Amino acid sequence: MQEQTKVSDVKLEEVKKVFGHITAVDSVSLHIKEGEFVSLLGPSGCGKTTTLRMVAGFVYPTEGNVYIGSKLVNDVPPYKRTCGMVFQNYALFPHLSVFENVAFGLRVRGVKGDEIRKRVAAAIELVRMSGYEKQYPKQLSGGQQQRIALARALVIQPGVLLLDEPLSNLDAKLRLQMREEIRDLVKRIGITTVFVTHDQEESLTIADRICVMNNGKMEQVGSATEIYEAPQTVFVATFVGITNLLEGRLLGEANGGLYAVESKQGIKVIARSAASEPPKLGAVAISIRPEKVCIGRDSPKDATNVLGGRVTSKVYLGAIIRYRVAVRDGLEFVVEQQNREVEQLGKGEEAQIWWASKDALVVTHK
Amino acid sequence: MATLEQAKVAVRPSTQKRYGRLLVPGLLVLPSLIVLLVFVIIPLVFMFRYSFYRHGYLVVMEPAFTFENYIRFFTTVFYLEVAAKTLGYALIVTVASLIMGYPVAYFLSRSRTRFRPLLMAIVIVPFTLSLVVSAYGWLALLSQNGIINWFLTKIPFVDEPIKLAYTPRGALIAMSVNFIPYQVLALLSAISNIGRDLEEASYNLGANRRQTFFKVLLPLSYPGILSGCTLVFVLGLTAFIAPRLVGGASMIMLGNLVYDNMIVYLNWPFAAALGFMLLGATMAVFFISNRLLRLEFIERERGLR
Repeated sequence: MQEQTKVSDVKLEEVKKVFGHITAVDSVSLHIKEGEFVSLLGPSGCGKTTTLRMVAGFVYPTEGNVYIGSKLVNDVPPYKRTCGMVFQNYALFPHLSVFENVAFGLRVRGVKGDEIRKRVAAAIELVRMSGYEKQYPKQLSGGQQQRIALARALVIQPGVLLLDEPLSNLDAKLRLQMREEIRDLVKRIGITTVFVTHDQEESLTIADRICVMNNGKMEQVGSATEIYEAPQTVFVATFVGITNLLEGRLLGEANGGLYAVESKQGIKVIARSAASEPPKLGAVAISIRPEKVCIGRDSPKDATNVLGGRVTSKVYLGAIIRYRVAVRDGLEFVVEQQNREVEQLGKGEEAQIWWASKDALVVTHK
Repeated sequence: MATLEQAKVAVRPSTQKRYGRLLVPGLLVLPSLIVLLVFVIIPLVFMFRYSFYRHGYLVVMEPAFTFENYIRFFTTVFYLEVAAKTLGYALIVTVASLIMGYPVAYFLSRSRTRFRPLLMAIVIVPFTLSLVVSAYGWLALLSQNGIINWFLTKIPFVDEPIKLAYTPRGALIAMSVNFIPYQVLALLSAISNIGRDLEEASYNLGANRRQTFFKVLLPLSYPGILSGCTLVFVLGLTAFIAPRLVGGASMIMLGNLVYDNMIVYLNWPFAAALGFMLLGATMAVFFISNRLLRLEFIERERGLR
């Protein structure tokens, strides 16, 4: 009676969750396609875990709809949903052996005897933990517990796999290794996966698509490249990676989808917008990544967006050199220079910085 | 030379520390040890000796060394029946108070209500109540026109009030409820130690509430259940106020036998023998529960070797 659960998609429609007078999640709409690996990224308290728990069924939405597969699950209790979940601290049953932990979901479904043995063995094999069946959770290291938690979630053949900060309790080296392992495993099975994390690097490397959240709201959804290269909001630009942010106001559209923005310091910048809708006139900000900014004693003749300033600090990081350049009125730019470039500047030197207009992005305050 | 100096310096504080380690705790427990010795251990030794005395005509007891008090207990059907009933009653109140206490303990350990301190106080208040006062309170509740019978007569199948006051039934109800706080306090810490996420993991894996209770909560609250039940069982074994005042004349437990022989029949040697049998029983219960708990811990800590 091998019941093969079909891999499902997950759809959130204008989902809202209010606890008392705190709105934890505010009108989040997200469609996670079958087999897709989506990461919910944001600082603590941004509502990402609450969103995940609404998919798992531990939290019922105040408003909006949650679909798993094509089924509306708003009022379906967690034990009737087909989600496998890996908890932040794994939540392995301390009174059960590794085998019984993995078998738990099968036993409560009434699977018996040989079938249980076969499927548990397969799941433990899948996470490369064969031979540990008789051990108890306390006897395992963090990484091993993590794998068992994964096996336990996968053995019931869920339609969706939910991972709640699964790497946060591991040491740095193991975190990298488990990250790869989880990604490989999930892709091999082809299961729809939602991964909650506050670690942007984790998010960028592991997920097909990243949903950046802040204050209960979805800021932007997109691939790692889109999130990093084309942030649409101030929050996304500053939360993911480091950036130079110039507060200012939008003056109007220049030619070819470019916009003219004047910063508070009076610097006029031509920038592009990554948003689907053109930005509105008024307060906006400009985001320019440090590695997109060029630095030298003199700018080339064809350079655009040239600013003069003084190097206030220079940090040698091996592959790159990071400068801080004071431009004007307290405005400071972070500039990253590849080590292979010839001309290096010293602290205190006069410098010119410039960048291409396509690398400056209009970002809005959401 | 230098190393020798260093060695001396190193040795001195460590030996001092070792004395200190024994001295301070020793001094701290000394007062209670003295109280225990004077008021519990020594009287018990005397009582043990009295249990081999003889009850004489017109004398409470006369020095002797006879087993007749113990023989009398084990050869009299009435006393054995009382002993069996005492065990049975203790078992009933233990199970009943556990069943009633578990949900309370679960709620208190899981809820985040701001009324928690108030609820805790309500749980603890019965401890401050004299057993005699509570017994008379129970008589009022259990009487023919008391509140319990008022509720019972609202049930379709109950036509007339059930006699509860001055019956063993009533006393068992009173004792079970009186013992709930012990169960709650014992269970509270055990349940608080079970992470919420374990319950969620269980639901997530497809276990419904019943399965989650029996497969996750109950096994993990085992230490709390064991200590709460041990406590209540022993209290049940040695109860004598509620059986006498609420249970009426027909309810006789070992504690009442001790009391009657002591106060009414003035047969102190037999009362002492009965008392020691009761003490033996409670010690046995503690011993067994301790062993079970230790087994449980060995099982749990298996991995920490």
